[in-house]
Amino acid sequence: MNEEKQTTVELIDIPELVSIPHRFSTGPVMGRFLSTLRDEKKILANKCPKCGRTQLPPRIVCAECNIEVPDGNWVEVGPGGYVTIFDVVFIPTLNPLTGKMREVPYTTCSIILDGGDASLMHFLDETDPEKIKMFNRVEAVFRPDGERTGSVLDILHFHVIPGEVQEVSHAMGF
Amino acid sequence: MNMNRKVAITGIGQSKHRGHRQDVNEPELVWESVSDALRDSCLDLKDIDCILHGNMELFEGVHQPDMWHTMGNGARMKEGMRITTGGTTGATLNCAAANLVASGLYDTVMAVGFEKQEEGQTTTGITAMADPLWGREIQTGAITGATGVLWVEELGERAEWAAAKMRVKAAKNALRNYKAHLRINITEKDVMDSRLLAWPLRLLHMCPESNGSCAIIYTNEEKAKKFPQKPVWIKDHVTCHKEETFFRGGPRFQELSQSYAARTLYERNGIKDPYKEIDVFEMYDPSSWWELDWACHFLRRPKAEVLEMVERGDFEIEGAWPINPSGGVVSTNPIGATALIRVAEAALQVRGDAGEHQVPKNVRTAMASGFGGTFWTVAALLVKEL
Repeated sequence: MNEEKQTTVELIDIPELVSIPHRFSTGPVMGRFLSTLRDEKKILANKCPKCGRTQLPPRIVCAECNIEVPDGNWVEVGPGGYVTIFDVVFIPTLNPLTGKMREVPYTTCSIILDGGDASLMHFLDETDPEKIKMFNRVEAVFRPDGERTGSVLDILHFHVIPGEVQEVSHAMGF
Repeated sequence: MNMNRKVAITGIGQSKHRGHRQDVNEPELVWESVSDALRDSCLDLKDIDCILHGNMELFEGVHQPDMWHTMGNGARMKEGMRITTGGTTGATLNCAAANLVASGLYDTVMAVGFEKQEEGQTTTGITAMADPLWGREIQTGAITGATGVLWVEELGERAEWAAAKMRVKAAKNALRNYKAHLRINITEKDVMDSRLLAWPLRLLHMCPESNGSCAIIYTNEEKAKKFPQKPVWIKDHVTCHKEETFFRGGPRFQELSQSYAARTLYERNGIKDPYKEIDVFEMYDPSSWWELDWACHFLRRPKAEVLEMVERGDFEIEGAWPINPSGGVVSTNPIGATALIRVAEAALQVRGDAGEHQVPKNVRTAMASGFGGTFWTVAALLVKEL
């Protein structure tokens, strides 16, 4: 009797780990922003000469009007402000900057800093969604002197001030 | 849009989209949809003048995958180009193919999108999309509950119920689509009990990581009349790319890209009421919260009215305004192919060839959307007759 021969093909996965060191140039505008954050604990936005909006982080051209923002158009904003939207994240994911899993929960946010009208992405120190109100007032907490390097993490996070809510006339979030 | 020549879709192909496809390598996965499109069109590779190839390189970590994939997409000794615009890649492939045919540069163009997400790290890849000077440290891939926060803030539990109902609708549709990846029997309660990713976004609201490919063949009017497959015409497409990664609310209003894309598409094509004039919509819905929210933008209606539509079942296959009869992105998401699958599924609906998930009406106009990048939207209108 002819028995049909069952052939199985072995499927092989080839594992590879890619670890690539990068160096990114800031350019002059972002460079000024980051060095001021590092040296003076100040947050600088830049103001479009045409539409008047502030940009955070600042950019060399207004992204809306597409015209150059002159070097003198700096506005100091914060360190206080209010939350326009937030994300309390419960799922650990890989941070591409470190190759390590992020510790959860953590809260990312967009805030409008006093003196400006552009929202800045950063972290909040509160991870209970019930305790963050819409338009909650916040305050920047800077990394101590001598530890700041000119990076997004020179601000540790924004502290959520319990029960303090900004009165605003604009719509919620986006 | 002013097209020099009319453009028809004349062949549609998809792989079976699955969570695990260790049985094939990347070019083999690409070939599944390419061969499917050739079968569907009754054409041969020699009939194709130009091949477009798209995916997101950071997911698999293969630079210039179109080189390795030549044997899978049939591009050997042919003209072609590579397109990669993040989540919108498939939608941009559709725009580019339509533009190339309309321009007269080529008569017949095949667009191929693929992703084999099990071979890399999707969320890390998406996070690396954010600018390295500020956003990369903060962004968590595409995982965000921010839209849900706004809905819950405004409408409470009713909004959570509506998002869950959208997800269950997608699951029921995917069960009717054998190519879909997640084909699961779930209830609204299952959705609301599933694990929190970013409050109030839960695991079942979110799109999966899939492996799959999609190919579409486009041709001009003259050839479309000779080719065997019935044509579906591209009426218009619109792209809204923005620099503003960071705009997430504030005193200065900015129109969101999906609102801009929908408004522009309707204005240019004399569509006064999309609810009456568009028969079916294949939306790029990365999560059920976004599907719910963007239904407002694409229908040009407020949240409260869209909530009523959800509760009435308007968005079901048999409903008045079906969204994603295929099961959508929350069921199937091979990212570089995802937005092209929206076009493919919309075209199948126009042709009446969607099989078990065909909407039970005469589809004359279908819409497909793509989403990705820094809140970018690309949308297309397909019609049975131009």
